[in-house]
Amino acid sequence: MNCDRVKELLNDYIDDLLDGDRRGPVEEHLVSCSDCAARLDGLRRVVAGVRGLKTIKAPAALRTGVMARISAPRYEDQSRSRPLPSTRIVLVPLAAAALLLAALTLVFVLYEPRPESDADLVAAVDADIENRLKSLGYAGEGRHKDQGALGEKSIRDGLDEESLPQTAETVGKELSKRSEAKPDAGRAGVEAQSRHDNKLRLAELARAKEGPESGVKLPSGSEAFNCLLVETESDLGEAAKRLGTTQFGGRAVVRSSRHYAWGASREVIAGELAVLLEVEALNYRELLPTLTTSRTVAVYGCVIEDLSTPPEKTKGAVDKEPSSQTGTDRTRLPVLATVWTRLADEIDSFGRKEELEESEKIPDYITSALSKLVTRAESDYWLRFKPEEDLAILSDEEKKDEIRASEISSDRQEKKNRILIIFVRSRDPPSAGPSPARKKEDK
Amino acid sequence: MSSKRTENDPENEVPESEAELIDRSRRGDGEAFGLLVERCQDRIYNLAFRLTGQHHWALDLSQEALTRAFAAISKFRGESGFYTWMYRIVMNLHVNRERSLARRAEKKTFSLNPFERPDGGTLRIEFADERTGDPSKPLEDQERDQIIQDALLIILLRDLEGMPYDEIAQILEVPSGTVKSRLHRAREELRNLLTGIL
Repeated sequence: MNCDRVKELLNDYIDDLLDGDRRGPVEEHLVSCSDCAARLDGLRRVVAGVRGLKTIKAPAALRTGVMARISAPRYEDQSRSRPLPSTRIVLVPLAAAALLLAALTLVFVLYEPRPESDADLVAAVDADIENRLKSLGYAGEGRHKDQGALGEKSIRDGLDEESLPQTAETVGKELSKRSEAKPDAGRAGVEAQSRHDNKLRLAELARAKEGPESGVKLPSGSEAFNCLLVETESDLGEAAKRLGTTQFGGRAVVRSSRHYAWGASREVIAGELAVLLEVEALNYRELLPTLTTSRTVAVYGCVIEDLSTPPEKTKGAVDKEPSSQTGTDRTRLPVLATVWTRLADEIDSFGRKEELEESEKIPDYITSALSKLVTRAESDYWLRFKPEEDLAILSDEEKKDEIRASEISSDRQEKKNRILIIFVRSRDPPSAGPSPARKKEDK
Repeated sequence: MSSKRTENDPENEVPESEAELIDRSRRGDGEAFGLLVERCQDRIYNLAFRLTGQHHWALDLSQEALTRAFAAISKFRGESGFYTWMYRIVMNLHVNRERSLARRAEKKTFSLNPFERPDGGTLRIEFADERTGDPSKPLEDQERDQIIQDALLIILLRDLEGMPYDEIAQILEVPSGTVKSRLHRAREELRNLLTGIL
């Protein structure tokens, strides 16, 4: 048997597919031909190399995520209503295939782990957010653009003095452009933007708290909630720096910067929730802790509010009979319960996240207040919503004096705003005696 | 929805066959599909990881593939094995994504990775399309992609999964002989490239 013939048979030899008639001559040849023996050795190493690849266990999030997706009616409807590209078969003429394969070469390169292309991430995040928002029934592209433009304008008009105000999209693009030459430039932009946006919000809130004479409308519940948590959250830039060391850095930074630039509108927050819930389901544990618990809590909080808003007032609401007591669509209660539970889990697990830096921790009073809310929520909070009791749960002894039941409007939205104001107020230094639930250093 | 499984007595539960689970899934039984997912998730995820080389993309790819599989399971006739069918979905999804990335980023390579190195690094294998031949015969994207992905897959399916040729042939929808010759070629190429490394 000559070398060419042995060469043809070596793969079968390795796979133990040769019958005795061919196996013997191949082995004989291998003994006498060092070239073929070396070839065999090389092939064996290749096969062993591939076979030796570690088997990876699928993360638990895989199943969870799939189950969440297939139980989502919208997704199911969408996916059943159109042909699936994944099942389309591309037919390749065999002769052509054989010919063309010869034109392909294998290139072997050393691969050093490096962050993903930010441009890809930006594109992926864009598509991701758009899809999530659409699936939630929230506004289409036009609205987002408007919000983006608004955010851009407000940043341009009000925050120029601090340099580097950028819209999220610009930041995202800049991030990828500058990453090679100046890795921190994009992040610096996000950081600056975050500071400015935060400052703006705090100023608005401070004025709103002065009362009606300030001429500033009290922020909606979600805005106030978010504002509060934005304040308490560690600087986004800090988070970005840390995120920058993970493969999720670009994605998270872009997403967060969008959040800020768009003014944290409810739609965006809802979109983020969808993303975050999925992220959580996907078990992207590297991402969630670095995104900060406070942001997750903020998002959950906003969605709780969103879901609790009477359907007729909520865009994209399910048109079902509202609960006579609360105005909450009863069909949403299971969803609410889920979100509450997640919130509870988040808060619960927060204390155990030892790897989190001190600066990222939610102040105790928020944890405490939210924990109370969560405890209450576990017994069908919104269904049994009673303002006096609920405020009592939220308030400690001092706050009970502060918040008198008579002040509580029967309007549910206002009640919730008040709850949120309590949170905000609790940041002020105590006026009558120390309270473990307060932080003196906060303004 | 039918359910042979009672949630309260998992201890006494007799594991259902793949065919039964598929049958229930066809009728929209998400729980049954969940059990199917449990059984195949490691293999699907490994394939996705080898194709994408990143855990989060692998997760994304395998989730999307499984979700689509559920949506399309009524079309699954059982002519091939469930894994074979799933692999096909993963591959198609992967190649579609790669294609769209390639269009955007002018990327002309597909990757099979990672081969972990003893020093902790990773070897990345790229199949580059180095067509310098007859320009009057442009290669259609789909055809080229299909061929590249098939070459990648053969190595994975044969040497990592240990699949027989005929099953690989089903997944790739080519004759067994073609699988064999492509495997031969792919291994040879790797051997040349890996000389001195492995």
